[in-house]
Amino acid sequence: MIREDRGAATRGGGRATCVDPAPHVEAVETFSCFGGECAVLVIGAGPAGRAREAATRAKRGLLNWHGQFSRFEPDSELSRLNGDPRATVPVSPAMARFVEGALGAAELTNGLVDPTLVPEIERAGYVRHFDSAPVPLALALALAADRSPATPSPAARWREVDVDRGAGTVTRPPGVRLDSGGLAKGMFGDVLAAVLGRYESFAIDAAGDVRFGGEARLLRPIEVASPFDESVLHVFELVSGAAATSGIGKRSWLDPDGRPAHHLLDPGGGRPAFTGIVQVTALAPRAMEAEALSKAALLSGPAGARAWLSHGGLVVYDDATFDVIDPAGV
Amino acid sequence: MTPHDPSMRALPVPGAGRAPAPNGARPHVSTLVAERLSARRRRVSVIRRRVIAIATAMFLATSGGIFVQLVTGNDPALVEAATVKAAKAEANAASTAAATAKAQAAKAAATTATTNASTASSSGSTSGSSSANSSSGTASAVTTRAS
Repeated sequence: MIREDRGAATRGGGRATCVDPAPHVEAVETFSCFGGECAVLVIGAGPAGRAREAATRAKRGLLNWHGQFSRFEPDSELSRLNGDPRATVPVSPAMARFVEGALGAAELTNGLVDPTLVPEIERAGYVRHFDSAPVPLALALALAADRSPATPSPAARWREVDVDRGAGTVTRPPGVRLDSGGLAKGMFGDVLAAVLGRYESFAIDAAGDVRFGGEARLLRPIEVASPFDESVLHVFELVSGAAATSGIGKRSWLDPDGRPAHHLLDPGGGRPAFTGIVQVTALAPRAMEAEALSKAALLSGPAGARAWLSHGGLVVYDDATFDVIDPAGV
Repeated sequence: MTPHDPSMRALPVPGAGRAPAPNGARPHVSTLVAERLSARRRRVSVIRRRVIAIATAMFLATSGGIFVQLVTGNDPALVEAATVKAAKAEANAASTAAATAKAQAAKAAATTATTNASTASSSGSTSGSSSANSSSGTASAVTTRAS
């Protein structure tokens, strides 16, 4: 592995830190959220105050959104929406935006990214915060059955969901439940980017979904970690955009029958998908789009993955080999 | 200050220096002057020690506060300097053609980076790293991973 190191600042851990990769001073907030490690990095000053203040506010926003969009918190807005017996439910602007984005992702991916697979994911065993050690990826792959690309759900429940952002309502047949998944993380990055984009430089790492940019157009190294050993497979150096990584290595478990399971479902079969790909990183102008593309690429399998990565990305296969796709156009 | 404070004892007691001598005669003038001078020296010494103690305490308290602020990473001077630098850089970029050319060079460097990444993509399963130079610097690396 070759990794170029030109003195870029490293992230602090566990608390707010201020590091100085002269001549730029970067405020860094690292914290646990969305079931992983998150970070906000800001350089300069802008509408939310100085870099440190902006980073702290962004962190606070991400933590608040996590509570609002968690499927596992009974008092979260998402849980209340899913449990509401009415067909049309008033929602917050953030929830309306998320539902709109989730439906857009389903449309974009022809239903491969389906936000209504809550019953299926619960049947697979994902019913609470995942805080246990995952099944070793090599073991899960060895135990998995045949590889095949995923297909859209014939039911396509997501087509029954409608959102009216102007009225602030979501309409769906009662009982159709939504899962925020990684799409919400992408949306949070996009929302924060609207403010932090006016700073010299910024990056928001929402547990793997990264949105970055800034007015100074500094190059931002985006490292892609291996799902097998956390080594850096590749470094994209980009000025602005988003990178999202989806994989089957982190949130995985063995079901009661001893079969390996994870959180990325084949909508057609309603079961965890083993397609021959274990991880995809997708680049895109916005994080929510990157999230949708990475999931669609993984679910499409080796034969169809590249078609989703028109903005660039990286595909890791079952045998630990990987392909880097040209990021031109991001 | 307690009744046993030596500084209190050093203070002249009204009439003390004028106490009648055992033989009933007034003390000698030189004795009175000496007592007065001795008392004044004691008072000056006490005041001097107090001033030194208070100044030392204030210095230590201020230094300690600054030290704690710095070691916790809250150096206001660093943030201020960065803000000023950024503002100056923006002003220069807006007013000079040279700065414009520099920005274009940085943009070109970014394009080079994507091109290099494209080149790396053809290597398939080999490790890769895009590279480019930027006249305006590089931000911190961020790692994307499945979560």
